Amino acid sequence: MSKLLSKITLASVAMPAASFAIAVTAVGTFYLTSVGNNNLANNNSAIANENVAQVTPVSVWDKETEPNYSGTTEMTVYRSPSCGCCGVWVEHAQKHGFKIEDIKTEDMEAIKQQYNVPAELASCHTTIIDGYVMEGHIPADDIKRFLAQKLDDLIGLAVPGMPIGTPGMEARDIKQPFQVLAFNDKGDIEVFKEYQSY
Amino acid sequence: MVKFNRRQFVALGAAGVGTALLGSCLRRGTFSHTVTSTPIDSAPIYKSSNSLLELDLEAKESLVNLGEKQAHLLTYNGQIPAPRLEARSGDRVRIHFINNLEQPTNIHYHGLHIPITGNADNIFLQIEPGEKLTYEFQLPDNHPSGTFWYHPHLHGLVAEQLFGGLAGLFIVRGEIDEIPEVKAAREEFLVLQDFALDGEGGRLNSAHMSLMMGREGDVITINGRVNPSINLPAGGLLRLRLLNASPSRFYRLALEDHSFYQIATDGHSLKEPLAVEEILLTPGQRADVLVKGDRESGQYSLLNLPYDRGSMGMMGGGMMGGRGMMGRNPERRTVLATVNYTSAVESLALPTQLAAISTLSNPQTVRRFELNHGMNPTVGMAFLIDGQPYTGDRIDTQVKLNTVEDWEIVNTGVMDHPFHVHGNAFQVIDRNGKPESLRAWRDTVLVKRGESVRIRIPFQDFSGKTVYHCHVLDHEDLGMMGNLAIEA
Repeated sequence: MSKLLSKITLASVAMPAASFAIAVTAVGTFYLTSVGNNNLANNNSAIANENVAQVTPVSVWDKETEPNYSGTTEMTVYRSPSCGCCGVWVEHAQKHGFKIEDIKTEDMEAIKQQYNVPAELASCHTTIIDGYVMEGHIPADDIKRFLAQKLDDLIGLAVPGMPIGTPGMEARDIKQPFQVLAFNDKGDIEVFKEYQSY
Repeated sequence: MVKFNRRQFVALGAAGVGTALLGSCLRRGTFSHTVTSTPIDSAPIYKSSNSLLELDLEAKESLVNLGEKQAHLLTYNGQIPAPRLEARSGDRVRIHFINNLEQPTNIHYHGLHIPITGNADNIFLQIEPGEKLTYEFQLPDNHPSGTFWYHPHLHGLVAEQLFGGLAGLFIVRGEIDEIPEVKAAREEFLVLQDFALDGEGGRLNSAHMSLMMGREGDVITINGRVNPSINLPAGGLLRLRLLNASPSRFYRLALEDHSFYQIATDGHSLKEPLAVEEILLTPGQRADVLVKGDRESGQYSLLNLPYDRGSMGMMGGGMMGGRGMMGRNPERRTVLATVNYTSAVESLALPTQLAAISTLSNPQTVRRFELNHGMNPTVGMAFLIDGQPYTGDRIDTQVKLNTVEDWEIVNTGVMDHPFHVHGNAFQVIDRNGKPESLRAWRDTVLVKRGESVRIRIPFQDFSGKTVYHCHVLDHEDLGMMGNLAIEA
């Protein structure tokens, strides 16, 4: 279905100025979800084509990139019982060797407060591992890379919101660019890793 | 190992993040606190004459003035919002449409009770770039008078095209306009839209939007203006005709020191004016209200109050309350418009009776629809109705013409979903089993997360295929829509 997508470079898209410095650091290639010129049919929704019989979706995130990781593998995942995507992220983490204690709770806001997740970085589920907090749909191997660095002035990572294309959020071939952000207990934020195309 | 530069901490600014690349988080506040004296003037008008409303309508990208800057927006006839169309029940409508966008498109006549096939309210039409199509239909003789609207509805592109600006009012004139108190009121049309623009006035790319929550922009306009002024005659009545034409943003409206007297929901008159302090307008919804000019002369703000429509704590409202960073809360109240008292008029009273609202017969069929998002084996993450994402050629629901059905819409997800049915208006029967006290016709109803709303729909006059869907239009584009076949 790549005919539905057009590739453009970020340089051609002026980013907002103002205080959002991390957005401006983005360089590279990303994808539009819909663009002119192509012959878009009624099934042009990137997800609404019934002709693809792909029963077992293969994710770009299945690949193991940190085979030598030797740190903690036990993690606790807090998620709302009604969340439609958190469970898929749990499966992603399991594929990468993490052992999950899966706790379903309606009180996600309290969990995020307890572990000092900055409000503007919030996503759906919250994971605790080795004393760090991991917010949202973070690629499991980034958690391994983060933990291996033993960064004691940072308290965790976050992928804010629910970008489409992240682990547990795979949708056809929509891949929104996203950043894995690191933060400390004062709410300071920096970019840990950036995914423009993947 | 990732190189990690500890000196490059960056402070996030005011706005909530929640987007893939912080995309829609622009300089909130730059606009919302600008007090202007821009008048509320709404779009140019096309009115029917001799029972015919005929016009040329061109969809194209245009450079338009928006607030204090220029923006490259998607427009009908170069206007934000689109030209206002006015007709009377029984009138013929003929719209010579040309698509000069770079994408295919079509037009949905939201709320109108007209044929859902042919060149009428047929959202399966696809008009390619450069192509023309003449929309032609007749409003039924008994069509209700009220506030309706038109916008693109080509699945997969709906959110993007509305967010570009393509939306306009379609007013049906009739009995409500003849009620003396309503007729005497000063009438203003308010089309609420939001936009996400870069420094050069270009539209931000969809890839940077929070598609899962539904895209929102930081520039909120009424009739393409930021904080316009609205004149209220002292002692008189102001009739506001409100449309939420944003693809995702909810508006929770209040007017300082004034009540609203609601007289219509989604283009359909109520039985009598209903006094309310706030109006919550989801995408797609309309409300007509009267305001009494019975306060001290002065200026009063039309406010947009915080509303939490989803999970993840980033939508403001309740979930962010109590956090230690309220100073950053982007969803505090904002001023959308300023109401100014003008010279006094003879004191006007509210109308007492508006319209009769029929009681529907008991339903022949009861159906249940479950709304959520989740993984679908064929397409991945999607917004779903009964576990299925939309597909073009599957009929999801088959009903018979001239029957009445109850639909129980159950939201088991973590975000609010306003549910819209094309072609036929409905009445809300109960919410979470609690009977709805207000009898009213609607075409879009909010189903909050965890909520179950039962609606009663009479399928009348027109057979054919149409759709029902979530009116957070990214959710619709990502699958939360179903095909409805109405069989004669």
